[in-house]
Amino acid sequence: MGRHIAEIEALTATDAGLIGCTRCGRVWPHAHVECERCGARLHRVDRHGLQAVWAWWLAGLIFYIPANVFPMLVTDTFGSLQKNTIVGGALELWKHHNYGVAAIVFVASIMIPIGKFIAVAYLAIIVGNEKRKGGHPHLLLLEVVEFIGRWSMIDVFVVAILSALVQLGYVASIHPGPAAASFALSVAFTMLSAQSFDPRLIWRGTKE
Amino acid sequence: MARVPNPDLGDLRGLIACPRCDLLHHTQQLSDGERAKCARCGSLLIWPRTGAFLHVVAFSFTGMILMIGAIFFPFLKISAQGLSHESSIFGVAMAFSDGWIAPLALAVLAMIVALPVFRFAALIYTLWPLANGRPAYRHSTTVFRLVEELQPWAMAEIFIIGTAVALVKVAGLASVSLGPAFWAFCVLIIVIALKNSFMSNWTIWDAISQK
Amino acid sequence: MTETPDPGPAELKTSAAKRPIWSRLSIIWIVPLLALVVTLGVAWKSFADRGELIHIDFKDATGVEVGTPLKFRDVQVGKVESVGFTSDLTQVRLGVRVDNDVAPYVDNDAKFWLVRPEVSARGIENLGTVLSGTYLEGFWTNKPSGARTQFTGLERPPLSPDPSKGTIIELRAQDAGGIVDGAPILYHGITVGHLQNLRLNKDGSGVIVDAFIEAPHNKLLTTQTRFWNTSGFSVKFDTSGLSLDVRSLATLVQGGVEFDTFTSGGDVVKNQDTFRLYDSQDVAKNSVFESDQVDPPRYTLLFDDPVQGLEVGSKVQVRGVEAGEVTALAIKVSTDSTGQSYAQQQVTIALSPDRLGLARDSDEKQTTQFIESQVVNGLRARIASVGLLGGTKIIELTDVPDQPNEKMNLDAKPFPTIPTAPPTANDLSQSAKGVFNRIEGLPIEKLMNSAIRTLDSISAVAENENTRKVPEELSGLLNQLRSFATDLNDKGAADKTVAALDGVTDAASSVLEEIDGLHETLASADKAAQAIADMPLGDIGDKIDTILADINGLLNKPGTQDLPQSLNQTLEQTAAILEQLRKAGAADKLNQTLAATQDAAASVSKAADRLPELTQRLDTLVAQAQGLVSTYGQGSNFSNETLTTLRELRRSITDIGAVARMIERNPRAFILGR
Ligand SMILES: [Zn+2]
Ligand SMILES: [Zn+2]
Repeated sequence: MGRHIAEIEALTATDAGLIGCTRCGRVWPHAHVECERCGARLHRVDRHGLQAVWAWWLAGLIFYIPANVFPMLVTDTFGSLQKNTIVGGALELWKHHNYGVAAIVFVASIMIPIGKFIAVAYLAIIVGNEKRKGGHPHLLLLEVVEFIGRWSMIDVFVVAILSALVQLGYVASIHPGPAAASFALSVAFTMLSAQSFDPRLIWRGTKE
Repeated sequence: MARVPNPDLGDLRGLIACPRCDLLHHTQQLSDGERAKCARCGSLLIWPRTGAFLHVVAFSFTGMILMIGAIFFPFLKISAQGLSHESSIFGVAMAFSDGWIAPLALAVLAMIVALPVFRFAALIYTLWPLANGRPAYRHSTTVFRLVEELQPWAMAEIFIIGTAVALVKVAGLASVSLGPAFWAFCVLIIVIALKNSFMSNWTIWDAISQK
Repeated sequence: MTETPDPGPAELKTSAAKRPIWSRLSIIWIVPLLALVVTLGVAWKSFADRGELIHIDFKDATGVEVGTPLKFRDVQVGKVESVGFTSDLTQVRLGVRVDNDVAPYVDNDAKFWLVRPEVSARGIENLGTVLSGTYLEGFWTNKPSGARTQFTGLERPPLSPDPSKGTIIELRAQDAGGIVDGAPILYHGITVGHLQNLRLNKDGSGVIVDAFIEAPHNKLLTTQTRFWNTSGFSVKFDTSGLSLDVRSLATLVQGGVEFDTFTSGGDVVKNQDTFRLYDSQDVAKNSVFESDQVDPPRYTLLFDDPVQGLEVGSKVQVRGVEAGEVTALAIKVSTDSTGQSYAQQQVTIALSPDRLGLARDSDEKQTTQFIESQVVNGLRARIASVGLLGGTKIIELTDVPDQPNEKMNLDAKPFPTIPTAPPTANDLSQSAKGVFNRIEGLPIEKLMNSAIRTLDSISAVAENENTRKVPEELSGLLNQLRSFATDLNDKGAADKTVAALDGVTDAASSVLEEIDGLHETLASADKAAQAIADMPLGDIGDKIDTILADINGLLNKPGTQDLPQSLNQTLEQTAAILEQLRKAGAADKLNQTLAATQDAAASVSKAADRLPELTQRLDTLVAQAQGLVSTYGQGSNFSNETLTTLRELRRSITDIGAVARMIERNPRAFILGR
């Protein structure tokens, strides 16, 4: 029959009246609350879990605003302070005709975080209206978000390394700006948001 | 055909629910190097390898040794116009130690040093008896679950990429020399990658639960 | 098998052969082993390379922290590992890890100091450390000599750590005279080095300061080079007027030293050579003591008479040759045989052996032997006066006749004594009075009076009734005479001269009145300084300028060089005295005096120009008159009267001519009485 093989042939744990542990894969009867093998909490596949996604998502978004408004790096060269926000840094590079690097910074530090927010929000909205279709692209999207979520922490590490290394007294010294903390929090909350997302929803949809 | 109309507890041991799509599978004893994937979403579920536990333990030991070196050796040093400054890994984390963002220093220290070290130690604790064919130590389940849960937050490999980015940014302004800690860290992420390739969660959980 | 079987031998409990441990070990353990080996290797290497730990104590370690670099020739060779205190907490003890490759050289001769930005009158130094922060600098030689790990840091950077970058010499002076550590050394106004480590000498009788002259300027040094103190500023009056001399802002604040080589033929200067530091450029140029005579033989003179006018630096002449200077003045209280206390003036002099005709490198013993032998022959020390008004006192070592036999006291402390003689009678006021006496002694007034009398009588003759009766020729002659007399009167030479001389006398006596108070003024430096402050400089400066210009003009006239040394000195001292007089308020009066003297000299000289002509004219007149008279007949009352007058007139004019010629020949003698 013309539908996806997996959808026809397969029996999910939920369909079988069981509950699967997302941590270790062990299957338990429906009533189980905690996995007896690994001790993880057992979650039902329903949209209630999405509340946590939205909560972390919102927190991440809130912290993303100061992360862009405040300076990420404060560069002190010969007594003149230069405060660089994330966008400012990219624009600066652009002005200096450093288009390549500007583009990389723009993509890595601006497009990707924003893309993450959009992607998570899209997934969280879309899975509710979906009935066992389009699973693969959505899972891929989620996996990309989960993967990139961690790598966004690079910006924070770069700030840390630059601040620790470039301490040449009066000639040049770099200090972290408040945005570094907001950005780190924003990344952490986005990661939590993506982690809270139950990928099983992508395949299952919702029963409510 | 994979239908299990009236599953009982005994049967449940032989089943695995894909954590990513909830699809039920029958578990199988796989031979060395074989990999079992979810029939629907393709997630890797079981990938046992001979001596995997031992390898993971050995790599964890390696990782810990490297991490100790990385902490205590000089990390990076820049020099420009006769001025120079060097920093250790610890110094990098301490870059955030001023003012109200000080907790970030702790977070960074945790992400690049503490969590990787904890995971190495926890893996050794969990897998050492299993590798020797003995039953798992007490609290192994809790410890291994923490290993799993903390995995996204251990960011040693991300840190080394961050270092590379920082070096690119600084390279034009000053000359940078790389200390032993930098190389230790580079090796460390290779070791972590190798270690991960030997870790089949389901297999480990299976082994831990065979008390 | 149904019955209970006999207990047979029990089966051994066997277990599988234990695999040897090496076969149970997985090859994977190579990985952590390798990591361990590499890590330990790196650790061991960095431990082995970490260098030698030394400790350096500093009184003040501002700006030093763990990680502060230690530099040698501007290259980092170590860093501070710990910052602590000495056990008594009085000093900061820095633990410094020195790189292995230089550690063997960090030995007894190593010096350490802190380099930090310094803002001083010299400018901003070590600007780089503003950027990089304070760092430790060390210097040591390339020869290992006695390992050491405990050092005391220098409080300030050494003059030059590296001897190859210049020359370090030692300057010795009586007192620091405004010099402070770090003061610049100038050569023609350019800073070529610095002073450091200003300290008292061993017995506290003088100061020593190290001087570093940077290469390549150190090539300017020879053993003949003379250094002098340029501290602060000096106000100088000379022919070009009032000048304020400030070598540099730095010398104003920190003092400074300048050097120059006035004579050729010196040898190459080595490190640690010692030089005398003179008080001023003039002293440096003219001092009888060579640069290397930093510790010339010294002697004590004890005078019963007051030594007013004598000061440190006053000259010492040995038989008319300048051979030393006064180095100290004090009062010595002694007790005589009856237990009576009495005070003596104790004057310490230093003598230059080569000025005494001894070998240049004669030591104190040889010099003393020489003087001792001369004392036996009658050499005595006494106070003498030199200069225009005798205002400058010197010590004279000369043969004084009719002195009781005396010997040097070689055991006297601190220096051997030379017996003294009473001062010469040529004291200040007497010498001044002498000048005026000589002026007064000139027969000018008498001459003028007689000249006036003669002219009066000429007029009388001309006006005489009888004269009208004389023939035309005679009346013409008389008219000529009358016009000559009028001429002479118009010129006013006589009046002027007399008036001028009166002025001289008046002024001189007023100067004399001032002289007593003058000494007090000179004695007090403070008052002198005050006087400078209160002085309307422009006003007085002009006057002084004029006088000094005149004196200089005099000195520069051809022939002046042939004048005796003493006269030259006198004239030079006149300038000095003028300044002193000015301070005392006597300047105006002295000014008037000299101006008047000069006016007098000028008028007389001017008159003298025409004297030969006048004499000739008079001669002709007399001859004509005699001819006329003879034609009119002898014995006429009128004739005789006229002739007498004419003869008197002629004689007067000849006398004037003689005086004028005398003045013309040697105007200095007229003015200065010498
Ligand atoms: Zn579980
Ligand atoms: Zn699946």
